Amino acid sequence: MTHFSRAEAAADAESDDAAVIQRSRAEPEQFTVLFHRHAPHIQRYVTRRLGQDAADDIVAETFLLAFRQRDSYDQDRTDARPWLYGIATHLIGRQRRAEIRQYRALTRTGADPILEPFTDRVDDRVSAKAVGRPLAAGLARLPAELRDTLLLVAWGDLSYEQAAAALGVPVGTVRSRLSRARARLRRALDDTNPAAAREESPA
Amino acid sequence: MNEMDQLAQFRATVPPGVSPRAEERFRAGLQRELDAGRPGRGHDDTAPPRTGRRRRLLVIGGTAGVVTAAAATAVALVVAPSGSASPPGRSTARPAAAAPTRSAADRTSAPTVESPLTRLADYIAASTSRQPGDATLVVRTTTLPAGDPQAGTYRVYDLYTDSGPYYFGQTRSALAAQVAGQHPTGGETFANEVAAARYAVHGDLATARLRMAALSHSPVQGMSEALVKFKADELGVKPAPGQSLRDAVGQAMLDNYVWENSQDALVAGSGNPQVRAGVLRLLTTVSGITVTAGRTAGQPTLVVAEVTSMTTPAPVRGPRHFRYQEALTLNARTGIPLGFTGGIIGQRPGTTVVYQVSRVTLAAIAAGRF
Repeated sequence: MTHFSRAEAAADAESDDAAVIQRSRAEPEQFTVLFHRHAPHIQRYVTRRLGQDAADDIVAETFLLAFRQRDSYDQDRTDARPWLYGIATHLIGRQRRAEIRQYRALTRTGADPILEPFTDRVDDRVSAKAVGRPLAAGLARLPAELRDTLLLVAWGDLSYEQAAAALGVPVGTVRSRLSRARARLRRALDDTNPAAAREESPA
Repeated sequence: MNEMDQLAQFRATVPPGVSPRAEERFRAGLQRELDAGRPGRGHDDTAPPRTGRRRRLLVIGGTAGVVTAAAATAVALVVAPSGSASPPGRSTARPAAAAPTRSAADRTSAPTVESPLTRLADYIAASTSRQPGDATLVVRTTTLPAGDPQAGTYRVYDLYTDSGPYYFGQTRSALAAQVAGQHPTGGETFANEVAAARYAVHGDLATARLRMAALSHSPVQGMSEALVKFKADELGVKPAPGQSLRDAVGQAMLDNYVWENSQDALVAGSGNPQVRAGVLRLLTTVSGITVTAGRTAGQPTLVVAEVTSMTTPAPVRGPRHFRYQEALTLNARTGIPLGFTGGIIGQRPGTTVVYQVSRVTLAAIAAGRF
């Protein structure tokens, strides 16, 4: 459970992200409101992609980079999630190999290294294994830009327009990438050969 | 179930939430950003100009070392925090090496005496003698121990002017040139800390503590419950009876900020008796510190020591527990700082700093006459 001061709670309830960022220019500590508001979901997104240890670093670094760039934030964008997810995705990109390794490990062994800290329940693990193994194989095969696009929508809960803003590409590009990513993933879900999991080169 | 549904199910295996470690890293980074934004800070040289001390509870450094007593131990006294319910009373001999951690038990059950720091503060504050010169020169000699990547001894020159600007030189001639050319390194370096110390001479100590920490409220305000628990584990904080964990962590953190920033104020304001008096009063509010009377080079001294229990994530996985001690040696008659030692108890020798404080004139410094 997150504890808020009364001032933060009031700010949280009354202000959109742009207002919080604007206020943080004069009162830097206000940026913690943005952290409390969005970090839980960004951490989940990064953790699912890279594991908890890496996520701790990337989540902190995402918000610190955002803090340093807050003066250039477009105040017309009331929802900062595309901006934050874009930074996080960029940082994840530096660890693409680690991400692929995790997917391949899950594909090979059926053991989800990311899940370990979150549940002791055997049935949860079995369920995750059943779903995760073929998905991991498919995700490992996707080119990075398709994977980023797909996961921003599927795991980041961003709209097409927001994903486009996060990645700095036109909305049409997001639609195209998403279509290709989903088609490849569908095919991968039928692939039962774990050894086939490898990242493809961008088309 | 299509592939998007399966992705959603796969994501659901990880619950939303911020880990204490991520929040800690963010807050520490934000604090660094805020500190770096202050005028006159941000240098990073081997023998750097004076900058704000690290707040160890937020940013834990890797310097290790045994803390060696800077003065011969005579009698060590546990100082009761000002405003504590503990009555002044008997004194108890206690070796410096057995200085306590800042646990709740220490705060409530340590033997207490009338603080020698309070007596010295009152004596200094009553001084009406006019200080000569228009600046304070601090010759700072730092020795980093063998094994440290920057092991060696470095002597540098800090000049704190009465009018505000701060000058720094790695050599005498460099400092003289900086002053002659009127190229200060910092505008109001440590102005906040010095102002807080001045306020503490006659002001409310609770307010003075917040001012010294550069906070408007408790450091745990706005902190998530998870991070409070994380900090409590990290610092070995146990609340006193009737005290909440949040309050205990807040007190421990504020104690550390006051301890660290007071040292900055004491050095930067070492030429001003009112600043020294205020710092000494503030140090009496820090829980669990010890004060040891002794002598160095024939001069009576007071060694003020603070020990903190810490657990920090190591570069490899797994917690790491240690006790970190800092000790400040003061002239027992004037409160002027003479030296500092800091490091991890039980490990290799730590960092030592020797201060040589004198009042000077800018004209003399610019002319190289010092």
